[in-house]
Amino acid sequence: MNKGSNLILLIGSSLFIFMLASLVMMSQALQNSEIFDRYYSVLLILNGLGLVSLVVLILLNLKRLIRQFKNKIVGSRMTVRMVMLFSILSVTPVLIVYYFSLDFLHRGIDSWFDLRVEQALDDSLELSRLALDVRMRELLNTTEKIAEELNESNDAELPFDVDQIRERSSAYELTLLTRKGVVIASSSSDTKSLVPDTPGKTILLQLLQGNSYIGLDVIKNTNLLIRVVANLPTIDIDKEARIVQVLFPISERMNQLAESVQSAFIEYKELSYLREQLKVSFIIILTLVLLFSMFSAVWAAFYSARKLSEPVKNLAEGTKAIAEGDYSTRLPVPGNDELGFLVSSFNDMTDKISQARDSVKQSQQETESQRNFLETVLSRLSSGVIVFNKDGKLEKSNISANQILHVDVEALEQKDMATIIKEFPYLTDFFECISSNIEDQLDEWREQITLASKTGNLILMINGATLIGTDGLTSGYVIVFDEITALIRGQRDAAWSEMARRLAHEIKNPLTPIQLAAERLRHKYLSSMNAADADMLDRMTNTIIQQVDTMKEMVNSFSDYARSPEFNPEEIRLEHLILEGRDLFSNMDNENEIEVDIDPNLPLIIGDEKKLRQVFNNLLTNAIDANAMGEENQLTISAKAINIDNHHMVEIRVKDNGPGIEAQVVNKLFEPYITTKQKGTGLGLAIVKKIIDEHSGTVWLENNNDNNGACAVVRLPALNQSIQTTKSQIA
Amino acid sequence: MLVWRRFSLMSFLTTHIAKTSVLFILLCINYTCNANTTKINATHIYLENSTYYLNASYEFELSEEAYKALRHGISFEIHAHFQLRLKRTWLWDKTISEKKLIYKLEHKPLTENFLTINLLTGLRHSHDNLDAALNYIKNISKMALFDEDLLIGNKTYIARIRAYLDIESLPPPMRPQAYFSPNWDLSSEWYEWELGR
Repeated sequence: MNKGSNLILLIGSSLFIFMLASLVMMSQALQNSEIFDRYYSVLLILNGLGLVSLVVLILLNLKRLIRQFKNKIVGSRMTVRMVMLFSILSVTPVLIVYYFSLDFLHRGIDSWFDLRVEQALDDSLELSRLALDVRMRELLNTTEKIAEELNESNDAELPFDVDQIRERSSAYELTLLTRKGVVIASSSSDTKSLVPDTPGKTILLQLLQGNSYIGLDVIKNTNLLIRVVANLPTIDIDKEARIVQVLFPISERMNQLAESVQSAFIEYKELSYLREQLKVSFIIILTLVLLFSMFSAVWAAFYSARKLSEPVKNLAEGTKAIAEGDYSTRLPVPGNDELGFLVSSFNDMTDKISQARDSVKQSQQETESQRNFLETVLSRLSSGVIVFNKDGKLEKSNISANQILHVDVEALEQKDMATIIKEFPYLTDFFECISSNIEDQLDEWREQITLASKTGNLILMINGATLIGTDGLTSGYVIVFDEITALIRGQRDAAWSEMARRLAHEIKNPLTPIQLAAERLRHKYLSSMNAADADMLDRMTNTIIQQVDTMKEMVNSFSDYARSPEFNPEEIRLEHLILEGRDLFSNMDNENEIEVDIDPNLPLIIGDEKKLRQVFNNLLTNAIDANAMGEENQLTISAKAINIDNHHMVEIRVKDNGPGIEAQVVNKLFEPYITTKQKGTGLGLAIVKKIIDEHSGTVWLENNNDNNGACAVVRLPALNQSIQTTKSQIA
Repeated sequence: MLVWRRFSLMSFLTTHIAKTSVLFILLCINYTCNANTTKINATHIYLENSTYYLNASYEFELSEEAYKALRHGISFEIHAHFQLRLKRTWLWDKTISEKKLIYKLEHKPLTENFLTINLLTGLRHSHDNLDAALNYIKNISKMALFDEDLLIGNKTYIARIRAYLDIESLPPPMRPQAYFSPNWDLSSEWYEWELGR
């Protein structure tokens, strides 16, 4: 139970107790309770205010309920139904009781009054008067005798006579006065009374008219007294007229009876007078009780309905929150009853769902994290990775796959292998290799294939593995492949270099003794031999010496290929080297026409000038040799700046008009000892390839589009690009 | 039967509400029509033996309804309320002394007398008729008010008096009606006069 609810309950309970107490006090006040009598009006106002407060509380609750109902807040319909039900159940019996109570009230109050009782009271009062009248008449006679007696008394003796007569007549007080009310002499049985009680003006006026007065009276907090006033018979004209007043006590019993009759009479008269007002007052109290009960019941109905519907409302809201994905909802447990058990179970359920959700979320995060990790790893892998699902459709690939296969593999996702092969026929070998291995149902496999691409043959090492799902069944296949063309070429180059080095070392050493031996043979025996033998020796030794020279040249070429001289990078203007080469070959060979086309904004490059000069010399030599095999002797050297994937490069093309290159050997020509020429060591292009590799460039051969000759293409990084490349190489 | 009860209950409530409404309207009309005759006629304050005393007389007549109630045994309390107030410029006047003279008026059916009881002293006086009783009440003689020391020389004081029938002295059932009935509005306005040392 929250603080607001406690406060409302406290206010409601306080108001209830206050009004109940107030109504009880009002009821007591109507029954002449002295304590509450004084506060009757205040209690009436307070009760009115209490009722107004209850009405305000009910109206506020009603307004709130209507607002909730209009806004279709969860639980409002239930609250409305419960309020109506509770109100009807509680108000109906109260109204019935009220109706009958009013009826009984009227009948009850009316039954208090009866004409016979009233008559009896009137009669008893009259009887009391009559009983006193007898005594009063006797006392009047006595008083008149006293008056006569006092009339004869001497003024000097009057005080004594008055006192004596009073004692004798058992009067309470005897006073002799003038007709104007001036006291002449007085005697009282009450020694504390200093001043005698004098008759009023009305009595004096009555005496002035010659009549005696007799009546019942109450004097100075005493019991009833009989006051008798009579004129003294006047004889002397000069003497002022006098009157005597005698106050006679009434017996105690008579007093009690008279007072009792009078009290009963007054009470009955009062009740009779208040008859209608009493009815109104009782109706007011009854109506207050009715309204108080009704309003309290209605307010309690609101409170109870709200309290009862609160857990249901909370449950509904909690369920809604869970449906919206908020599992943090915790409902206050209303108590230990069934609703409390339900809410408690709901909280347990929410806890478990929340824990499960958190667990799933954590798993998802971990999975996502692992996926991101894998994505990152895959994207940074130099190996190409592609994943097929169990139906053979491509599901996933990385960037390296694009680069190796020269295809946007990502665009091929959700396509099967047959479709991909149709789009890219040159990938047939690649996918057939994968397909055959998958069909063989191998868990892991490894195979090397060679793909013929536009830029030459690609050697791929393909690794495959079957992905097993959580159900133990095949869920897909992962293919990892590497382009090992460069690796194999590198290995081959290294092997060739080693072989060349060993060959040079092993062969070069015996060549000089062979040559020396041949020269020595010639020198020693040529002069001593006959002409025919000398001629034969001369030809043979010449052949030996000539072939040894040739072998020496070949060995030197091997040595040059194997040797890795120091790389001296510097800024180079390629146009100078190109023009220098053109001039050299133009002077050496007038048959070839060398055309040069150089971009005027050709950027600088970083490189070793000597090595690059050798590159151009080798390429031009090859081109001239190729032209020699063709019909035309046209040579073109072009150089221009290009941008490939934001990499600034310089492209040099050396184009000849020779017979071109067969497709089978186009990629092998850069390998040592591969040549299409009659002469040559087969190392020229291998050395070119090696130098260009050292400059982080690329070189390849391609046939011209017009099928007229071939073209050697060299790409070298431009200055800024080459600085970065060089730095990375140094690093 | 059920229908009859409903009808009866509804008609009963309707009748009751209608009656109460009519009674209230009549009371309001009557209230505006009846003139209250209670008023202070004369006052006289005098100093005797360092004490101020008051002589006063006021008009006070019972309405027919009040007389009828008196004859039916209802007793009244009639108050003469005196206040001495210090006049202040910036604040409300401050009551520094107040006295009340309260008489209870009763009718005695046995003797057909009217009894006045001074509720402060307990002294009773019996009167042959109502006029005599009211005359006794209406004339205030030598009512001790306050000591001479209470008045400070340079201050201005307001003495005021009013007389009224205390409705709260009536039996509780009569009070709600009496508060709204001119028959029971037997109170005078405040009669004020300046008082200096």
